[in-house]
Parts: sequence; C-alpha cells; structure tokens
Amino acid sequence: MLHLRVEQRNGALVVTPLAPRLDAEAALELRTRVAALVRGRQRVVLSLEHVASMDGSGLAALIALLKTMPPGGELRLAHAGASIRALLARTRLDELFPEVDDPAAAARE
Amino acid sequence: MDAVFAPRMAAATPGLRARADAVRNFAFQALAVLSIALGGWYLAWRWTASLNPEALGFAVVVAVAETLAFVGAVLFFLSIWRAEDPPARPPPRTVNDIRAEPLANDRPIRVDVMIATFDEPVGLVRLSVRDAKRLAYPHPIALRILVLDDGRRPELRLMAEEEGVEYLTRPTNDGFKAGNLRNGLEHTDGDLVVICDADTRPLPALLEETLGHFRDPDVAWVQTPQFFYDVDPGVRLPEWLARRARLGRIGRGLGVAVEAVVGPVAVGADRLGTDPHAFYDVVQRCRNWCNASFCCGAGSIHRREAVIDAAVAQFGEAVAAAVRPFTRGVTDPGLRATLAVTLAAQAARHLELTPYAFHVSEDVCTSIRLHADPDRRWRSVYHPRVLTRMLSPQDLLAWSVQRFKYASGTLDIALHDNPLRRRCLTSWQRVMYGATMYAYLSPLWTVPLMLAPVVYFLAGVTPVRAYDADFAAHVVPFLAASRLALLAGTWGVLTHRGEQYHLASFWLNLRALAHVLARRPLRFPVTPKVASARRSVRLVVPHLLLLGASAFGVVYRGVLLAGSPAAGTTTAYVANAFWTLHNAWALLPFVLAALLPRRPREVAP
Repeated sequence: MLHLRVEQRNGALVVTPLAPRLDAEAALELRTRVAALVRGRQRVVLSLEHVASMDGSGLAALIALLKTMPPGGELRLAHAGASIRALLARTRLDELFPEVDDPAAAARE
Repeated sequence: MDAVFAPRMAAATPGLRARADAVRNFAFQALAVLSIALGGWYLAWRWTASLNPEALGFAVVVAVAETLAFVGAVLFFLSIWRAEDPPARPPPRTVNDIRAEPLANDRPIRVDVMIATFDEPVGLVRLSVRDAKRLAYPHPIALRILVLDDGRRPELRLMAEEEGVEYLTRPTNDGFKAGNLRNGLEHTDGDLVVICDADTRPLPALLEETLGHFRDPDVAWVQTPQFFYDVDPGVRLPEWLARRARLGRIGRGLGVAVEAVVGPVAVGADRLGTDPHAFYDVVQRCRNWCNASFCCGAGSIHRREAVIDAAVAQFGEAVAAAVRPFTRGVTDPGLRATLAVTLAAQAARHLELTPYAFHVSEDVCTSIRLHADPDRRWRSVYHPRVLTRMLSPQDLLAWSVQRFKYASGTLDIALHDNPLRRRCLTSWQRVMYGATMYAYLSPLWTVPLMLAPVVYFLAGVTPVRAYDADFAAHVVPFLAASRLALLAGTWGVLTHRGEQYHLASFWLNLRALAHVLARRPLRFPVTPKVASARRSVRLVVPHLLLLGASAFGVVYRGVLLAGSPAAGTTTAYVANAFWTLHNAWALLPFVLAALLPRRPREVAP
C-alpha cells in the first residue's frame, strides 16, 4: 500500500508519497486514490522527497492524474531527484510536469 | 476435440534443429544468390533484347511487372536469409532475474494473463480461461487472469466469477482491442503481460518455456507461433496415394519419393488457407537472428516496462511536437518556459497514451515503436514452439476480414508512418519491415502478370519478341533456381497453400491499397469466430471473371491456331497456356472455398 501525506498549502494540494519507488505497483494507487483527491483541483504539487526512482508506469500514472484535472490545471513536481529529472528529460515530459524547488512557493504562484 | 492435440514441433529437439538450420541456411543462401544473379541477367536481357516492338506498351507493362516481382523475390529471399532459434534459458526464479536493476526486496514474478474479448461466445472464452488457469511454473509466481470484456456482458462477468478469475470492463470501446488492453494494463501491475484473444488457449508450458528469454533485460516481448487447432491437417501424400488413390505399396513409394524431392505434401489440407505456420516457421523464425521478429498479438508475452516506457516516450514526443510550433518564435526564455508549460498541459489533455497503438495493426505498430526506440535497444524473441492454440477464421468472409485488416494496416503504416524513415532501426530490421510492406503491394505486379496471357489469347499480342529458345534459355534457369531456393528456404514447411492464397489475395490487397490511398478511415472489425452459413460469392467475382476469360481465351486462340497458322506460334500458345494453368491452380482453392458450402463448427464444449 502506498502511504501518502496530503496537505493543503495556499490553495494548492501537496501530495507526498512516502515510498521509495513510483513504479507499476505504486501507479495503481496513484491512479485510484490520488486521482480521487486530485479530481477538480487546479493546483497540485507532487512532492518527491522520499521517492528515489520512478519508472514509465509511474510517469504514465502522472499523465493520467493530469488528465483528471480541469483544463488549465497544473501538476507540479517538487524535490525531484537526478534520476527522475533524467527520466522527464528523456521522455520530453519536463514541460508537462514543471518542477518547483519548494512546494510552498509553487503553490503561491 | 481436446484429446487429439499434440504440439506440432514436440519432436524437434533444439540440437537437431540447429544442425538442420546450418544446412538449410547454407543451401538456401547459395541458391538464393544464384537465382538473384540469374534473375538480374534475365531482366537485363528482357529490357534490352526482348521487348516486343509491335506491342511496346504491353511489353513494357509486363516487363515492369516482372521487375517489381523480382524486387519482391529479392526482398523475400533476404527476409528469410537465415533461420536461427534463440537459445533456451532456464525459467527465472524471481523478478530480479529479469530486471536490469534489482529490487531491494526480491519477490516472485508477477504475470497478468489478459484475455481480450468483445462478442465471442461465453463458452469459447471459458475454454481460454480454463487453460490459462492450468499454466504451470517451476517457481513461485503471482499469476492473475483477467477477462477484458469490451462487450460489457453480465453473462461473461458471471463466467469469470464461476472460474475464479478477474473481470474488467470499461464504459467505452475507444481504441478497440488496443484500448481494451490499455485498460487492463491500467488496472494491473504485473511485470509481464500475456496477450490472449478470446479464443487463445495457452498450453500449460507457455510461461515455463518462454520466461527464460526475459533474463535478458532488453527483451521486450516473446512471440510464440499461432497455431489453429481446428485446421484440417490433410493426408500426407504417401498415405493418400496408398489408401485414397488405392495404389498400395507402389503409391506409398511414389509418395515418399516425391516428398523426398519437394518436401512434405498434404492432400486436402487447410482448404481455406488459414494455417499460419508457414508464416511463423519460416518468416518469423528467419527474423530472430537480427532482432526483427514482430509481435502478432495473441500468444505473445510482453514486458510491461518496455511497452509502457515506449508509449510514454511517444506521448512525450507528441506533446513536444504540439508545443514546438508556438514556442519556436518566442525569444524570451522565461516567457517561452511559461508558454511551454501551459501549452504542454493543454496538448496532453487531447493526446492519448497508448501502450498498444490505437491502430488496425496495433501489434506491428508496437513492434516498430519498440525496435526503433532511440533510448533503449529493445529486443524481440520469436520462440519457435507452439504454446498456445486458437481458432482459425471460420470461413472465407472471416478470412477476408482478417486479411483486409492486415493489408490495410500494413499499407497504412507504410504510407503514413513508414518505419524505414526511423533512424534507430538497423539495416536488417529495415529489410525485414520493408519486405513485409512491399509484399502487400503485390497486386501491382501479380495482376498484370495474370492478365498477360488473357491479353495474348484474346488479342494475339505477346510481351516478348518470340517464345523461342533464346527466351527459354534466359527464363528457365532463373525460374528453376528460384523454385529451388524457395524449396530450400522453406524446407519441411508446407507452403503451396500460402503461395496460392498470396496470388488469390490480389483483389483484397488491391482494395486495401485503394482504401488506404483514398485515406478512408481504417475500421477495426473483430474477426468473426463463428462460421456463417452464407456463401461468399462476391469475394471471388474478379477471380471468376479472370478464370472465365482465361478459359475462353485458351479455346478461342486454340481454334484460331488450328484454323490458320498465321494466328500465332504454337510455342507462344503453349507458354501462355502453361502460365494460365499455373494461375488457375493458384486461384481455384480460393474460389472453391467461397463457393462450396461449409459446415459451421461447434466452438462451445
């Protein structure tokens, strides 16, 4: 089971997965539980400080999350590690999931 | 219908097979080079010294057709250049045996068996589910069986409950089978995915035999041969001559002698020409050595990571392509970044993430996507042993639906997303995909070549100056060498039915070509699994016209020749009559399959 910390900061929803990997297994819960939290939200920040690695399945789940948000909604990533950044750059999805250094700052924008 | 089944290649041990392959490869390659050289020599002569000046237009059309056919033969020979099976590897014990980066907490491999169905009878799907439940594995394994029902049928849900397997459905039918599989992937997390159609019945050894290939972390999928358990195997020639033709021992000896020369012959086998084993045993096997065997859907096992990663990369590519035109002109970096983020989110909303391409030929598309992945050299494996069985198309109509799908799908890829333009394919992969695409253009040369004798019979004109000794000296060695090369290249595999149906598909392939050129939408009809009692006369109208015109022409020109020698030479008549007979031989089984009534088969137990 994927443990999550969910906070409300300055109108944005900050979701922090407490798992070392966002892979196919975690993706299942991102698609169900997190999708239910995110539905209808304009600003969501996924804070990855505990996540060491993410694979294609995890990324596919993020895409699915974004698609459940209303038009104009943004899903931002915070504290992404080097391997996750490399994955985003390789798949050219770094523009789709912009990074912020500090979730609170992201939410203020 | 269950007890009689035995895997076709059970007797072939890997060691013997490898030795036979070495002989086959050498003999075939020598004959192929010879026939290509002789063919080049024949065509050079044909273009420079044989065109009939009295009917130049006709002569050029036929010569162009011959040249295109020759290119097709060269490509085909290259595509079956080398047969080689993958080395067997022991079944992996845990997931870390098949991963590039091991997990900290190792665990058993998770396998999801996905049975995609839309409108097939419940009894048929139940057979597939029951066989999936019998899958065996020597190590602990986490096996999930899912019925993916695009028909949203309560009775199917009930069946799944009764059998103790999972049932999944979705509100729409977007993307048809590919969309259905995507829905399956979104609800599961297995490391490997087994793709089954509603009628795909796995044998217990499917996983045990194939999962070893995934020990190589670059292997993206393993395809096993599709085997139709309901195809009539026919009677082998010695048996047929001895029993049916009542020739006794002499007949048997004759049959054995003939088979020794031309390979196995089965009388009355597979009247509908559906048996795909020539495709698997020859074409797919010969693509293994250069990593070009492709995925054919049912009967394949996929690495989730490969399918998803490639799909995500393609999605990212599409998002970037949608954003680029708008951000290109923006010079301010900050503004450009903000704009890109907004546009990317907007584009992503309208794009589909498709692990299996939403395309009629989703399996070929997926194969190309993975083979051509710029980030990762994914490998494909063709495992040569039959490990699933399924139903053949039940009548000519079903056959035509399926073939039209293959033809239009492949031609659509060739015209609009040609893999030859992708940078990351190797030269041999290009040859293999090129050969497949080129083969679907075959009516461009088979139609003129089949019409040429009719034109001769009716109008008396010939495409060559004369059917003389010079012509024979050029064409006969080439034809003989190609036949021998084909024989060596397909040794031990029955190919004559495939050859006949290849020629007889001219009309279907021509329609597919017109369909794709006109950019008409490609439909995704499900191949019917139940025979209709209807005869399919309309499918063979062009064939009947061609056969009728040929028969009339033979008689007409024969009568003219008998009356006056000025009507042409006997050699021209004989040569054209021979060619016509060959065409009739090729078309007749197809025509008979359409005209003879067929008994519908029982599919439910």
